[in-house]
Amino acid sequence: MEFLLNGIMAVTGKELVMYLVGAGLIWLAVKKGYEPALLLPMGFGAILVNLPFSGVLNQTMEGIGVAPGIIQWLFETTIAASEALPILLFIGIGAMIDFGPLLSQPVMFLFGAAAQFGIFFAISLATLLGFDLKDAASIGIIGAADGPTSILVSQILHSNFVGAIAVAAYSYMALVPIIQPFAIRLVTTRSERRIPMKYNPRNVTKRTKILFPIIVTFIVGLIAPASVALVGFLMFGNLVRECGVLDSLLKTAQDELANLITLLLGLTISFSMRAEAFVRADTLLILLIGLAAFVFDTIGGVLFAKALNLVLPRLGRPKINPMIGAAGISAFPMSSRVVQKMAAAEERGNIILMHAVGANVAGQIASVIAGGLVISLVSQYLR
Amino acid sequence: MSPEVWSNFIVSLKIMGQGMEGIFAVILLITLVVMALGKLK
Repeated sequence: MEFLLNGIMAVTGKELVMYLVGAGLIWLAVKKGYEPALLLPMGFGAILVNLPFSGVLNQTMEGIGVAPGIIQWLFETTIAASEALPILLFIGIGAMIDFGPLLSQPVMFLFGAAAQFGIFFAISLATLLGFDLKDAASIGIIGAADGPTSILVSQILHSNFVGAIAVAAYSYMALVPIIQPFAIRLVTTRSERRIPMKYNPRNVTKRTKILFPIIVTFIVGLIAPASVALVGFLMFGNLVRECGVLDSLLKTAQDELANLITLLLGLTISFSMRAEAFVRADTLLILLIGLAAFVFDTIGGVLFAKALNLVLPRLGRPKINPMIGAAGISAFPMSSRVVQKMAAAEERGNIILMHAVGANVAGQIASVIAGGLVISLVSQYLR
Repeated sequence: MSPEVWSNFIVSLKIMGQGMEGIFAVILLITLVVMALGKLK
């Protein structure tokens, strides 16, 4: 009978902590509704991979040899060897995004760029806290507010903290309704938050919508080639959406493909949440730096809008509600909803949603470009 | 602060400068192209 107790006797303190982390993630997903599609599989996976002698990890068994584990195999083939899961997910994301609100007011692209500031702020903060350049860059990319990009960049840079980075990225994306209002209020006055914005969208032709993903792929591919796997697959998904002749593929990309990958991605990434890799003081630091990244993304976007407001009146243009800048992060559609909710709370009837949506989808493009640029720049400095 | 941390911090500031410059350059180019597309008849 003793062999039945081997597992129970082998549970370590760190593994107990991971069961609590797993339970916490499942609680956030089920009870709070925070990013349930990712946090629930990650939470359950955190429990699976931390059971002693877990069969989901490769185990060497006496008299038998190595017995392969499914989660380890999934991680090694679909993330470590090829980054296939996060990249393929971008087809589904691209198929879901309507770039119309952005194409009808292209100036909103600029907010997507400005709101990536938190990535670089967090990289600097992480280096100051003693992380090496590769880990600092991987941690900073939490500020992309984009789970697949965070996983991909940290994996390409061979970070030791992929699990903590993924948990931070998805948790903070879910906490955007709490983080962003705090950061916006830090750098805006009430009168600035009440600025109204007229919505006069330009008509966007079907030809523009079809050419857009192709042109973006060319521009990004030629200028920041390290981004092209991310941007290319995102834009391919969008081309499938806009071409108008691939309805059944579009439906598959939006539903089955995105759901299947999401389901597997959470479980697969839990491989990096093994107790020995996750339960360490660095994980807490990473969570704090990730929070700073989101706060400074928001501040970067808002301050950029405020800077524009110094110039626009001189050009005879109306001022921009600086909260639009905060919507330039990739967390879609939460960020634009948060901004609209705040605008309406400050001034009843103030509708800036479509501007915010434009900035928000710009953030989705800018975040993957930022991911590629970070990879290129870090590799350049590590030569 | 150790020399290695300081050196990494300086590099991170350079990455910040070049990264933000790069993002704005790419985004500005895309913006201009989209604006030009809008003017095409």
